[in-house]
Parts: sequence; C-alpha cells; structure tokens
Amino acid sequence: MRVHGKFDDLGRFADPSLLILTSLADGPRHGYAIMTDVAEFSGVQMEPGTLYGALSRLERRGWVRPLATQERRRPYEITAAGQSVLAEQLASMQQIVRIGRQRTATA
Amino acid sequence: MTRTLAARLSRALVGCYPRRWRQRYADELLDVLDQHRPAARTVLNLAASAVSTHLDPAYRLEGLAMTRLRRGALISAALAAPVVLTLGVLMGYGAWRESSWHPGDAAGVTALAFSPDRRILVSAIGFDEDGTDTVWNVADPAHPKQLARFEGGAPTAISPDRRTVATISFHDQPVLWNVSNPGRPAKIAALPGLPNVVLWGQAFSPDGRILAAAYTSQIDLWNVSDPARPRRMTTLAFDAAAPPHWYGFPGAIAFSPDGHILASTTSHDGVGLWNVANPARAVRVATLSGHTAPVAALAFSLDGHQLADVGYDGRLVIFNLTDPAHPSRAAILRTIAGSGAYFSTAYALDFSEGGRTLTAIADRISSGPLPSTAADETISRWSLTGEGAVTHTTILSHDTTSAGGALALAPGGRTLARGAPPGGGDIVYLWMLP
Repeated sequence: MRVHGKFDDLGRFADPSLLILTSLADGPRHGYAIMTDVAEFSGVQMEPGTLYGALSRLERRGWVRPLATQERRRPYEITAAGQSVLAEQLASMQQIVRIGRQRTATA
Repeated sequence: MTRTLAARLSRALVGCYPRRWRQRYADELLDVLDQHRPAARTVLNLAASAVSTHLDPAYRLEGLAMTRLRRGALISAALAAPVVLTLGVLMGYGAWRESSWHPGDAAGVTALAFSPDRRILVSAIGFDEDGTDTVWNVADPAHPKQLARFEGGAPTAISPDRRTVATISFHDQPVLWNVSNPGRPAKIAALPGLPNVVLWGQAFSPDGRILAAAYTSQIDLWNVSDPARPRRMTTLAFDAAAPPHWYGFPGAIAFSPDGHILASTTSHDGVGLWNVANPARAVRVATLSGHTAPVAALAFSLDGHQLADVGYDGRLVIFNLTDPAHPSRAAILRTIAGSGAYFSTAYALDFSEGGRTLTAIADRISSGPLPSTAADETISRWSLTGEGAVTHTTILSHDTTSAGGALALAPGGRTLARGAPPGGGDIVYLWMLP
C-alpha cells in the first residue's frame, strides 16, 4: 500500500516523527525494524539520516526512550508523553481528513 | 553512483556528525547502514541530516561539517560536498523547518562566561577553531567595553583574579589563556585531553588554584597555581556506566564558595559531590538525585548551605547541604511556565548574594501538534527561607519571541547575558533583572 508516497518531497505528509511514533505504538523496535515497518504501513522509504535525526529529537523531547542494546541493536519504545502526542496528532489529522472528504464530495 | 561508493560515502558522512551525537548514535546508525544497502539518496540525506544536527542548539559548540571535511581526512566526501550540500538542503525532509533557526549564516554567539566578580564577560562567536572569543569589561553593564579578542574555542570559566580564561578547544582539550594584558591575549597552556572523550565543562576553585576539567567519564583536577605549569593532581571517576543518552547534553560543574566541595553532573540523572578540601585525596561524599534528565546548571548559595540544580526535565531542586554527606531536598520547583510537550535548550540559575532569592532562566522549544514548534523563555525568581524552603514565586518574564542563543547569568542573579542564536549575528544582549 502506498498511501502518500507522492507527497514525500513536501515533508509534512511524510513527517518522520509521526511515522516513527506510529511504528512504535504497538511495541519497541530497533532502527532498521522501524524503517521496514514504516515502509510497509505507509509506503514511505525513510532514509537512515532522517530516521536518526528524528529519533534523537524524539528522544530529547521524551517521546521515545532507548532500551538496553540487544546484540548491537538498540530498541526504542514510545513513552506515555509520546503516546499522548501521537493521539493528539492523529485526532487533528482525522479532522483534516473529515473536512477534506466533505469538501471534495461537494466540489 | 555505485552501491559500494554510496556505502563508503555514507559511512564517511557518519563521521561528519557532531562528536556528542556520534558518541550516542554512530554505532546504531552504522549498523542500520549495514542492513540498508545505501544508495545515492542515502548519502544526500545523511549529509543534510549531519548539517542540520550541527545547527541544533544542543550541539552548537561543535564544528560545522565543512570544517571537518576541509581537513582532508575525507577527500572523496569533500569532492561531493558542494553537490551534496545543495541537494541535501532540498531533501532535508522538513528537518530545517523543525529548527527555529535559519541555516546560511553560521555566525551566532555559541558560548558565554562571566568572571566570579561579574566584571568580565567572555563571549564566543562561530564554531570551534573558526570562532573568536571576545573579552568584555561589563563592570558597568550599561557601558560594556571590549578588552581583547582571541581565537580560542568555547570559554567555560574565568579565574577569580580575571587573568585566566579556560576554554575548550576543537580537540576537547582544556586551554588556558592569559587575558591580563588586554592588548595581547596569549595562550598559556593546552592541557592534554582524553582521546575520543568529550570535554563539556570546566570550573576554577574560588582561590583560583584548581581547575576542574569535566569529561563525560571523569573529572581531572589540575593545580594551576602557576598557569604556565599546570600539574594534574587527581582524577575523579564517575559511576561505572553512565547511560549513553547523557552524551547529547552539556552538564554543570561548580565549586562551593569555601572551595571544599565540588559538584558536577555525573550521569543521566545525578550530581556527584566530592570533598576536595585536600584535592590529592578527594573523596566522593554524596549523590544528589531528583531529576529524570541530566542536570544542565547548578549553583551554591554564598554560605554553601544550599545547592540548586536544574535539569533538562525543566525541574529545579534545592538541596540542603548543611551536612554535605547527608544532603536533603528542600524544594522541588518548575522553571517553565505553561505546560505541554517541549524540549529544553538552555538553563542558567543563581542565588542572590544574601541567599534569600534564587533566579532561573529556562529556554525551551515547545511542540504543539507536529511538526510546528515555538521557542520561549521563562525567567523565574523564588523567595527562600534560610533553610531553602520557598515562600514566594515570581515570573519575572515569559517571552515567546526570543530564545535560542547562549545564556549566562552573572553571579548574584541580576545580570543576564544572552547571545544571538546561530544566524543571528555577533550580538550579546545584557539584561538587568529587577
């Protein structure tokens, strides 16, 4: 499924922070597993530079937290604060989708 | 671009990230690159990410990627750099937008330090060895006078006699500068650093005889009675294994006013206290805890009975140190007005001379719904009892228009120096607080 691949270069529609938080919402994952999971559920091919740029910002904001390294790979998990930010963001996107649908239907 | 060239360039570009970032993430990122099979877009994306990380305030003391590339260590990357940088900016995936600063003009005030008697302020502009330090006479803050300029790295401490400035060099070495002759500042000594270990802070003892150099793994105590011939007296080791996520943050270090106690960030959530009355036989006496993030700034009251520290979690804790071996928490305070998700960028705090008020400045980038961000600054003052309990809280200012530059609060908590953020020019603003 390729949901919004053609909007990649606009940034906003492929916000890496949102994709990472969504990926971690159902359990901890390490870096490469996040990339493959994101590609699978959104069609966005996130590059390692983008991934780690976003991960380090999310970690500093306290929205994800690193877990102990397992065989060289460090899994990350979403925090309670990260979950509430994600919920808030998804609600606002839902609102956009709802309005967008209404307006395109009447147009 | 062939796969193997892309893989080689990608790995080389990991070396262009700031050192503190690399210490925390490089192993993981290299591991992901091994699994990912890098292509040309991976290389461009890494270049853009490395540059935007250098512009991030948490890493702003470090060199720009181009500085490192010019060293010739990564010649192939250097040849690709102009293309990589141009395309990289376009492919930044909104990374620029998440920062409140605009790339392009790298100048900005990167570090500030006051002398203990608050007559001298040293500011640094630019990055690392391309940066310039300026010594200011701010005895009359309304009429600051420029005394001297030298190229010396990030200033971290000024000796009590105002003759010596300790800076952190590009190579994480402590460097001592003689600034007693304003016309001719001179490098006195470069102390040996530790290989591949970040030096994040320094402090002079109140008698000016000891320089404490704080790394992410240890503190070295140097006898600098004769600054031209520093002698290492002892090394204070940290806890066995500090979790690596401390490395993104500069910590805090200070001597007590009588010079007997040294306090320093030692882990992701703790401050260590050492008795350094006899520096050669320094002993760890206690650990202060009360934060969920590293401590960013700390200060002793003038009588040494209280210590206040503020962490990147936005929390400020006042400890009663009447008996340093058995510290107790006197108060836990919030430094940030309002609520919501945020990440903090800079803190400063100090007690008033009588010890009855405590002033703190907290800068943060707040995050509304992704990816919008806004920066703000809160200046708070608390009235204290002799035991450190809070009787009154005043928000002196809550400014949502300016934040992001280097910060320093002069001893006593009445003069605030704030530097322009990267891209904001070579301007230092001095503020008199009420």
